[in-house]
Amino acid sequence: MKITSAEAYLDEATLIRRAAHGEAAAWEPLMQAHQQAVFRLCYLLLGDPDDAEDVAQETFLRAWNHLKRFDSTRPLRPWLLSIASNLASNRRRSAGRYFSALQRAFQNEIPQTNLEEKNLQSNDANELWKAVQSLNFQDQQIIYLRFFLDLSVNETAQVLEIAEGTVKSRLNRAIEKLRKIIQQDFPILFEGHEV
Amino acid sequence: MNEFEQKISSISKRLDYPSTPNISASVMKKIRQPRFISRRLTWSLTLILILLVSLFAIPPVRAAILEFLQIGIVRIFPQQIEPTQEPISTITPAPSMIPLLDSIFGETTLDEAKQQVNYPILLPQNFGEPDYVFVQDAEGYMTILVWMNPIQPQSVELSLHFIPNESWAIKKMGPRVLQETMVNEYKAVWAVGPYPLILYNRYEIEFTRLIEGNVLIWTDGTITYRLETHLSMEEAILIAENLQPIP
Repeated sequence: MKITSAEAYLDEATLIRRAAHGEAAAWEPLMQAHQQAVFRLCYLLLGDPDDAEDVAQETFLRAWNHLKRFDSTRPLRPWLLSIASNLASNRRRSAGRYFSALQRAFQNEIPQTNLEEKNLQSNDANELWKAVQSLNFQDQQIIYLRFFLDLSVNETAQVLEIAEGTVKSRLNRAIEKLRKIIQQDFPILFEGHEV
Repeated sequence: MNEFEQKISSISKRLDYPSTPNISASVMKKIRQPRFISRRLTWSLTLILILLVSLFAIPPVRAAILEFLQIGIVRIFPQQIEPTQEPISTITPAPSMIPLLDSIFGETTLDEAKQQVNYPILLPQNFGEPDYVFVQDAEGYMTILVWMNPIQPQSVELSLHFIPNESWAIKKMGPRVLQETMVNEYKAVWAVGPYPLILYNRYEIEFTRLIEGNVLIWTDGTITYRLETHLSMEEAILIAENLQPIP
């Protein structure tokens, strides 16, 4: 059965059920709906677009292979982000990533970034990202989900498979650490504001 | 949201991301790719099969290939089995939990963990409540309790895993010292690092950890218990035999 344009507007649960029964065409609109969030989380956690693309692809393949076990009444995005986060965590530890980074470094294809061309607002965001990268993986993860990807506390709890109360307490701890890092190493970020 | 959080929130939205690649197209291509085995691969697989069948025909080889220990869901491929029944006192610097604490998912509280799992969470005597509690859903809730060393707060004193059957699959490759023992009436194994530990979860994601601490593993038939510590085997057994349900 093919998904027609009208069917593309079917609700997520129906598409998930169809995809779980092996209907690849039902999986495509679901991927399109969530690929940006998945790719961005991978990019934030890995800092490299090629790595992020690999892990995002792997996320959708793993999810496709395990759809039968997924409860279609639950929202898909937190589950996908949870898989992506697990895979990104694994990737950070894998030696292969360092080899591929080395390989790219020797290919003389270092992307040229002209800071002057970037506007100040974007620089602020890059500085903030650098500050967040100083945190440990768990703290980075919760800040990316809650602030950069704008997930609710409930969605963040689903991604991390923890209670909402734990999200709040862990987020508070991460924010306090981030505040100190910004005060110490990125004071310009909050110039004129009380950090 | 306080002023700082609002500022973080608004700055973070301005990050310049690379444009999102067409991931769905690449994945669709892989999903729709017909799965076939090439003639060359078929030949290779046939040769491997013939080789394995031949090897299994030789008794010592068969014994070596099949030599592993299974305790609950943990399968151990020993480097050497110590036949001695004498208890081995082994003190290693520290269990290897610390590097992972930052990347373990499912941090929770003891009270929440009690609500989540359908088996009793047991605590060792004289250790108090754990410093960290993790519950991970892997088609069965695995609980991990961690006690930090009060003198060296950056190192782990003790960690205790409760792993329901058919949850995670764990392989230990070649522990240095391995000894079969008992915890109460249950068969147990004592393993000493360093050795790689491989865990597979429901997403088939593989985690490999280098275990440097000592580990006592036993099962009561439904739960596999895994106690990681720097203590000796006798002390670990004493702790294991005196675990008590949370009051």
